[in-house]
Amino acid sequence: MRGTALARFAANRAAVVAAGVLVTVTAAAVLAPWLAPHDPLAVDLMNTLAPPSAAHPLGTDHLGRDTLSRLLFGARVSLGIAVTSIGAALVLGVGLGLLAAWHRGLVDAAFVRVMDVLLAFPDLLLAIAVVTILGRSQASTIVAVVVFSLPTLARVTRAAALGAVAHDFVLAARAAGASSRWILARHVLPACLTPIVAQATVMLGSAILLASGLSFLGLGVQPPDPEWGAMLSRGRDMLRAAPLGAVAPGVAITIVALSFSIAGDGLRDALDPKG
Amino acid sequence: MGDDVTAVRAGAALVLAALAAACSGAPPSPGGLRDTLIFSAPADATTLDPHNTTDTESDQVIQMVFETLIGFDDDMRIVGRLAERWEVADDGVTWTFHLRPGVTFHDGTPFDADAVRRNFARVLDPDQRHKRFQLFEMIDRVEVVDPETVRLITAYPFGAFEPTMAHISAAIVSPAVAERFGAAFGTTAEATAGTGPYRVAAWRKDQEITLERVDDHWRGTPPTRRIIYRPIAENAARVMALEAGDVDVISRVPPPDMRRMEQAGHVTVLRTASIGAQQFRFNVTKPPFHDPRVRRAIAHAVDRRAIVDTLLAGFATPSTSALTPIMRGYANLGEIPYDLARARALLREAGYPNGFRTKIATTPRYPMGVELAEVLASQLKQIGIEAPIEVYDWGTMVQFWQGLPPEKNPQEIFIMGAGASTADADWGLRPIFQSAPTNENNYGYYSNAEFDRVIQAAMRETDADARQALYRRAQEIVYLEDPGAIWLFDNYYLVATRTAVEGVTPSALGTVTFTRATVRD
Repeated sequence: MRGTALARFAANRAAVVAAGVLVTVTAAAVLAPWLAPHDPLAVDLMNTLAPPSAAHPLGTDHLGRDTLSRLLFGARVSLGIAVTSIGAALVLGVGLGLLAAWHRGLVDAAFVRVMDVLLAFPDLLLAIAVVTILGRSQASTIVAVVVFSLPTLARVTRAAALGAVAHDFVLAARAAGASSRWILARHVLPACLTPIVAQATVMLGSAILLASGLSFLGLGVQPPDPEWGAMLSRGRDMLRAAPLGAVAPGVAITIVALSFSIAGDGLRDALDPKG
Repeated sequence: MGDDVTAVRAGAALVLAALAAACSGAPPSPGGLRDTLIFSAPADATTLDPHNTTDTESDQVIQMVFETLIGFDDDMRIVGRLAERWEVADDGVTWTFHLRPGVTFHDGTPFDADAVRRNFARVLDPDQRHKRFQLFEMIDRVEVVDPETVRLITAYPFGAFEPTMAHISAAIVSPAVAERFGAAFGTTAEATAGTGPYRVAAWRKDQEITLERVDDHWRGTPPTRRIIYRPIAENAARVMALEAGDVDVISRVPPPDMRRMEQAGHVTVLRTASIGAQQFRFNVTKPPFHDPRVRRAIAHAVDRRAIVDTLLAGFATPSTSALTPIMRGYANLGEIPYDLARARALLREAGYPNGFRTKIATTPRYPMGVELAEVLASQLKQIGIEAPIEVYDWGTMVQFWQGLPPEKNPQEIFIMGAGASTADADWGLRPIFQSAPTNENNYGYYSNAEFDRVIQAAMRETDADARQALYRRAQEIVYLEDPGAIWLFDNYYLVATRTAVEGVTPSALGTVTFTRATVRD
């Protein structure tokens, strides 16, 4: 089964390219301290808005900082926020979704209502509300993205788990006197993994977009830390004088968000050919 | 009036006259001149009620539609407008204005002494809560002598009375229209009427304001029939609109674009020394900023030359005082030297040999606002001061400046643009640095007893030399000895036009006048 899923994924050329892009970007982010030609925070007022050169392959920004180095370190921040927040949202969302599906009744009804309320808010508005309450910082950006992605992941889990708990092997485990926790972990969760993994991958892309959006508005990562959304926001004023300052982070955000989306779809198709 | 004639403009007028003569009788664009000029600023006017606005983009339109009794010419000298002559009595409080006869408002109401009286009654009525109430609070009463003579009596001899009366908020609005529309005056084209060379023909909020010229205005008929104000918020988009020829004139151009366009030579780049200055203020109630030595140390740690030459692309000048050189009462105290050794010595003296941790609040609303904070942070690091940056949108930033008590205000170092629109030392210093809490515009809670005394004395001083000496002392205190801010640079007001545009005059007050502007086909 595993082998065939991998083969199906490999046959999806777009998904393979997307996965390749993600692996490369992740590697670049991890290796940023070694790959970056300059300190991303080093201000050089004698060399501002420089065009691309051997020393600065993507030129410099309005403070003379190397755009390529900021892009690489920005990948750490942007990917870091996305992975951390989706990871946290997965733990919480899967837990809540399983509990709701397992207990049904009042617990489930309450769960569905609360998630519906959260989903009813436009994502950026919800994120801005969270950041307004918690203050602007990288940590609050992460919380904002968790709050945004939690309901979707929890609902996907619940829907999958509702199907899984009806299976005969779950009934058999129950009849055998297994504990709820054991049944959920050993029988229900593995049966739900496919849609959860696919959804989480797609949501990594949304998380990148949301975090960049917050930073673009000045609510996320604060200067001078490099972050793609913030770089885009500051670079757009210099669009004519130094186009790469805005274009480079913009392209990076687009490619990575798109890659997560394509890879997530490919993953779903490969793991669950029926769907 | 004398203000309307300079050599350059006389030349432009000659060319115009020649063009007009060459193609006379060819409506609607005689002599290859367009009948419409399109101007783009970052924002729309919020209101066209001169008594109720404090933002430059509103003033931008207001100064074309309304006139004051006396005003500033292009060189910031005070000249007559709706008043032909004026004088002050020996008591120093009785000002008599002799009004220009035969002027009517755009709605047909005649302009006379009673209109002036009703205008000041309007702005000084505390119940109407006009934003400019405070600016004119020294006026005790207004007396109509005859239809062409009006007397304003101040509560005390006020040294800055003329520049205050030249402020655009002292503009005279049509009393008939003002009384008909009440609080809605200036919110639509119909609810706006002044005596200016242009009247408001249409206003679609956040899209377009159309001004139509007034024929046979007492200042002459402007050459261009229509002026359209079309706001474009995004700086890069505004610059591109100019370069594409979609608009004729833009204001608030990002300095790097100014340099690029100046070098390319495909547009005309205009700069005017302005009343505007950029600075970061200290919240002096937050230790260690209560210690003037710490503030002086920071002043020496900032390389203003480098900031001006690079970030501002040379389109600014390093500050030399708490006021800008074109303001009345300015004293040149020199640039504060960039001297890290001195900065470290002062910090040591104050008990912070290894620096400390603070934070910098900024907003992108100011040109290069975020970038300036980043440079400041990187320069403070050189003397051991760690200062993370907090970027706020304008709305949030303004909340910190709404008269909060100091203990409720978390800001420590915060960006601030200064620009006293009377171009006078009184308005440039008193509202900002006179001790709180009597003064809620003192966002940094600055307090210096000597400064307060000097400012109060200067305000009531009408002798020009004595006044200048007092303001010099005030600037020495707040700029050098007990600094209230990290003074950075004096702004130029930056305007760019298509090369087909002539006769555009940017004012030091941050507005552009189009009464002599032409656009060639």
